[in-house]
Amino acid sequence: MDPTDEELVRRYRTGDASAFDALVDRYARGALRFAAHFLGEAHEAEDVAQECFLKLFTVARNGVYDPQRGRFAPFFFRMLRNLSLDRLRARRPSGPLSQDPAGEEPDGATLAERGETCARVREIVERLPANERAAIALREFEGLSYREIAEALGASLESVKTWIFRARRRIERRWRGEEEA
Amino acid sequence: MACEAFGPDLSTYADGELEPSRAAAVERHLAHCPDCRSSLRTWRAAGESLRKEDPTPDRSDAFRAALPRAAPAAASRRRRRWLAPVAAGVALAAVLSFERARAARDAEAVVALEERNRTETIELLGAVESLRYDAAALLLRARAAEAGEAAGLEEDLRSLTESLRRLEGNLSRIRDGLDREGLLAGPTEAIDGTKNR
Repeated sequence: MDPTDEELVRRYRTGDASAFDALVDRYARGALRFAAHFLGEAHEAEDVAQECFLKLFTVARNGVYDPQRGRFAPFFFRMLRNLSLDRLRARRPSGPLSQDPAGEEPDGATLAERGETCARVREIVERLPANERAAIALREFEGLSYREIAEALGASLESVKTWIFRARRRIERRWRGEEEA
Repeated sequence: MACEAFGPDLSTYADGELEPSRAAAVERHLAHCPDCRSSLRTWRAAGESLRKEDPTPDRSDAFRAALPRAAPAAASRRRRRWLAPVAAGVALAAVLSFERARAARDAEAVVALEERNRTETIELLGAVESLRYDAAALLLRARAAEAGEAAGLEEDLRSLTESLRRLEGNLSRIRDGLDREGLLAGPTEAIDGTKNR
């Protein structure tokens, strides 16, 4: 059985340098995906993901993250989210972080009834407001629990439930071409 | 579209996060509400679609290659604490070179990166100072114990002496490097009374 993330952190801190590589392998795609969802720009996302691993290198070594106090994933994604926020603030220092974009949507049947959905759903998700996008990404891609998502995003459990519900409703409406402008 | 009153609970139910009593209510509602059943199917299909063809590339090789290569912290902080600053020294040297490369790309980051280098340096020097206290304490213990536990103490002392020797060499290289970078401003004075800058 593969070691847990927390076990890898413990191994790294007790002398196993390869455990850190295993963590990078395990989180590389997730980090890039989350940063891309958050920032909406692939090149910038790669920079932020890289910066996050560099920071992780330091905090794992210094014991800032303690595996006994909680799961690694929410800690990691919170760090990544903070770095992404820093990048967004630098990009648009006085603007709001979350906008609700609107656009023309094609008519369509339910997702379950359509075949070519993947790219279309991704496109819709990319246009969700930032909080909803981050919450649904952590749920659907990373499989975090609601409580872990709340921890990662620095939000309440109720906010997470609301964001995920609204994200799904928006995805459904946009797919059906019913979304309001 | 899901019913307004049941929508939020239906979404939480879809993720298996709804408390049992409310989940039972959602299931009763689903039994006679085709709109909510349709929404539930749609949400699940959307999630599957997202996961099925995820275009995110795997950049783990590049991420790992850009990280400093360093031994992790000591195998046992209690028994072999002097290894930590040695490891930190190796890490610091690697971090410096990596971050210099980054700084060349991103001029704005230079100040922040140098500040981080400086913080790491101060942490390292603090660890060295702590090590010296540990060494002094061990020597005192060795003298007090004299012949009684000599075997174990001798082994500890030999190990400590070797670690100290390596640490001194490592620290010397780091100091030289930091001097060249202009990143060190005096904290070594507290350790051995010598100023580097």
